[in-house]
Amino acid sequence: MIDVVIVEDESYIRKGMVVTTPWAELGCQVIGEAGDGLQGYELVKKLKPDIVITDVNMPILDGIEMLRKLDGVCDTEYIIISGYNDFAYAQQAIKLGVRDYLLKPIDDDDFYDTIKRVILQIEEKRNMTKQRDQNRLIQEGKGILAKEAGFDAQYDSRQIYVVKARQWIEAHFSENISIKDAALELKISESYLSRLFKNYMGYTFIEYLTDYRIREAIELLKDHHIKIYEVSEKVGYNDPKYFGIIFKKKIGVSPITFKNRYMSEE
Amino acid sequence: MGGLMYGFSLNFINRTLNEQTMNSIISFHEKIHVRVSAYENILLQIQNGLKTSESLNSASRLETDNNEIYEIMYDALEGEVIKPIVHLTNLDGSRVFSTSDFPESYKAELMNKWGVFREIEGQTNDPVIYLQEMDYSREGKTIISLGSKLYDQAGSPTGYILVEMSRQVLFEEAKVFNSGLSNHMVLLDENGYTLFDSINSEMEGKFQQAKYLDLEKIGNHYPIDSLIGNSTFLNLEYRDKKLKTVTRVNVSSNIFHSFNRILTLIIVGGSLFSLLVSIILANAQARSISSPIKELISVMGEVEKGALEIRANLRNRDEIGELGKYFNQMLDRLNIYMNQVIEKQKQLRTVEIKMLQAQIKPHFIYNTLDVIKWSVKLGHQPEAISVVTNLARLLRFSIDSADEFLTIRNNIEFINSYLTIQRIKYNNSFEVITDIDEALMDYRIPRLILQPFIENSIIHGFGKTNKSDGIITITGQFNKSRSSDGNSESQFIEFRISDNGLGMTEQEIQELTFERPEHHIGIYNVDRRIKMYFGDDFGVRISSHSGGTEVVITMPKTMTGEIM
Repeated sequence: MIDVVIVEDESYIRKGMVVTTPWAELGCQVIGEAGDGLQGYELVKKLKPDIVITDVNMPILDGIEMLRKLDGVCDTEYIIISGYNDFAYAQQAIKLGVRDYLLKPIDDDDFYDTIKRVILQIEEKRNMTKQRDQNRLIQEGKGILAKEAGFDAQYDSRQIYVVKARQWIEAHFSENISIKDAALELKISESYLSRLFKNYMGYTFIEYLTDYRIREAIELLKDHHIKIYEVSEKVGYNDPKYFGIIFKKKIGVSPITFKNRYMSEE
Repeated sequence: MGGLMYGFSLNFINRTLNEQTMNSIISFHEKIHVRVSAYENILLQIQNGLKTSESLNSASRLETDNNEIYEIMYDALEGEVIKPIVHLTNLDGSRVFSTSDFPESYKAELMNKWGVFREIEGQTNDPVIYLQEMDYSREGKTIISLGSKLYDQAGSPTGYILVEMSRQVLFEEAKVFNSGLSNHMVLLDENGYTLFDSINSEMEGKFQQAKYLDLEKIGNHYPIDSLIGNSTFLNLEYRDKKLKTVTRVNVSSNIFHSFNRILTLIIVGGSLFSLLVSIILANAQARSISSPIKELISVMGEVEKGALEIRANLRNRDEIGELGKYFNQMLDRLNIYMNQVIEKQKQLRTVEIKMLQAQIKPHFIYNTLDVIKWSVKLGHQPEAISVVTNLARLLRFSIDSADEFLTIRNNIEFINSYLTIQRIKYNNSFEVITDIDEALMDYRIPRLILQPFIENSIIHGFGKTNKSDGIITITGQFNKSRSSDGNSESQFIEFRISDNGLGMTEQEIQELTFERPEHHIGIYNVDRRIKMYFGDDFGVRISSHSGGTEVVITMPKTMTGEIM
């Protein structure tokens, strides 16, 4: 899985990107979002995501300033989104190691292609480091250990809990689950898991779970024949009313309105 | 005794010449006025002839229709010996009829309503007199343009007409000055640019550089310093209110020359005599006088060649030292004045260019389009529809009208559309209270005067703190100011834009208003633009504290863009 952080000051654009992009199909997950350059800087420094998608024109710290501050902080790929078709800006961005520069209004196909391209580059990079690490371990006579390590060398042991918790959410989101169940599953205390989640993610456990469910619900609502209570059940909410409230809070419209208005792409 | 005689006769000749020359000047101007009136008639005749003709704006390309228009034009010109150049154009310059080539520069001016077209727009009924030099390959130069707006029978504007006076006319009429005396006559516009020069046509279109026509030396006096070179004895100036021109004439005559020689003899003889005496009396002192004079003379020679930055270097504490000092001061003043004029011209040009930049930022448009896209994807159709509608209004406002001045009513409509979009974008996280006095609504102000400050309130005042209970208050009303003598009161227009946002530090305010900030060019320009249009009494004041920012914008009451 590729971790993505989105930095954008316009809430519509940010929310739209987080909620309506088929992240799972692209092999990604959004692990945090920020509304200005300074928040973005703090978040990226903390989460060290694989990809950061950022707007340029933002209050407090603009995108280019944020990149300058993040220069050398972590090994992250940046995609910049801007209303400016400004060569000087683009040049500065490329100097700071930006992979791609997309112009607003964003074309979905361009957007997805760009993300796919960047992911390929990340995987290549990962393979190279894996190779290097394995070679090093083999040279040091620890080859067996390396093979037995079930996870990529990129995670430390505490991060593994968060990764596992996320995988568990993705497998069980349609059931009525809570952080308690996840902690039981991982055999650690509830408070430790919630602390770990906070340290390694831009969202709390419950926020991440809710977002994941809402995203799934949106996919389901694109089917015109489905009933709202069916969707609610499929994404782990027993009470359709409660699901309605949560959905409206996140998206701004009720599930029924969303379903009626959604012009399916066919 | 000789000096006295000389003085008397000189005075007499001087008076006679003065009268003669002044008569010539007045007669020259009368003749030009006659021509201008004739051209005004031509203008009217063509205007009336066109009222019944449809083809100026109809897309008809029929040869017969075009011929009809040319016929009207040439009929009107029939009485003129030296034909003026006539241009007709529709409002956007897409259809042009010309008795010569239609200059490229007019196309740009039409687009932006600059130059002569701005003058025409600002004038109600009489034709405009506009001084400008236009070069035509076949007909040579034109100096004075008359212009007017064209209307159809229903009274709505259809285009413009220009009638341009050829330099040849001025040249012919200037012959009144050939009275046997050598005259140098120049016609300048109000800024001191040369329109016509009877001796040195190279000077036309530039600042007049003939030293002996200098303002400082206007009037009847007979200078004796060598700055004047070939003996100038009479300078006259005549200001023509109708044409807004200044005519200067310099007369130097042989009569003067002879007198001048006598005078020179007397003076030089006298000087030589006294010099002789001084040599005998005080050799050393003589040296201390003659070398500074030489120095001064050589400096003056340099200055005459155009080296204005050179200065006399005299350390004497006597009259010659004084002379040198005054001479230097005069040069300083001349330099300052010239630089001021050049600077003013430069500023005007940059403001005109910047005016083009007084438009909605492209960034805002792209961003808004992106918001529309995502809000549709999120199922927020009503918001998306509202944003699309209002964005279209904003664009129409910027694209459809090239007028720099728009009514306050239009400006407020624009602001409302802008605010509707911004409130949707920022989830209604701020409120707007607008209170504009209805009596203001039909006055005109330059476009995009208010929007940059409102944008600053939203983005700087609220955006940086993620404030969710922001309030922007926009008020507009008349205010009174006392005249400097305290006797009369005059009304002006005052807008206040205040917010309860983050506020700005003194330094931020300084940066916004004085230092050409890159991102806030809009704000920086507003004050400059207002001052350029209306003078230094009007403009923008920003005050701020931790509880928000208040901007006060003052402008005169105007219906046209000109101060009433």
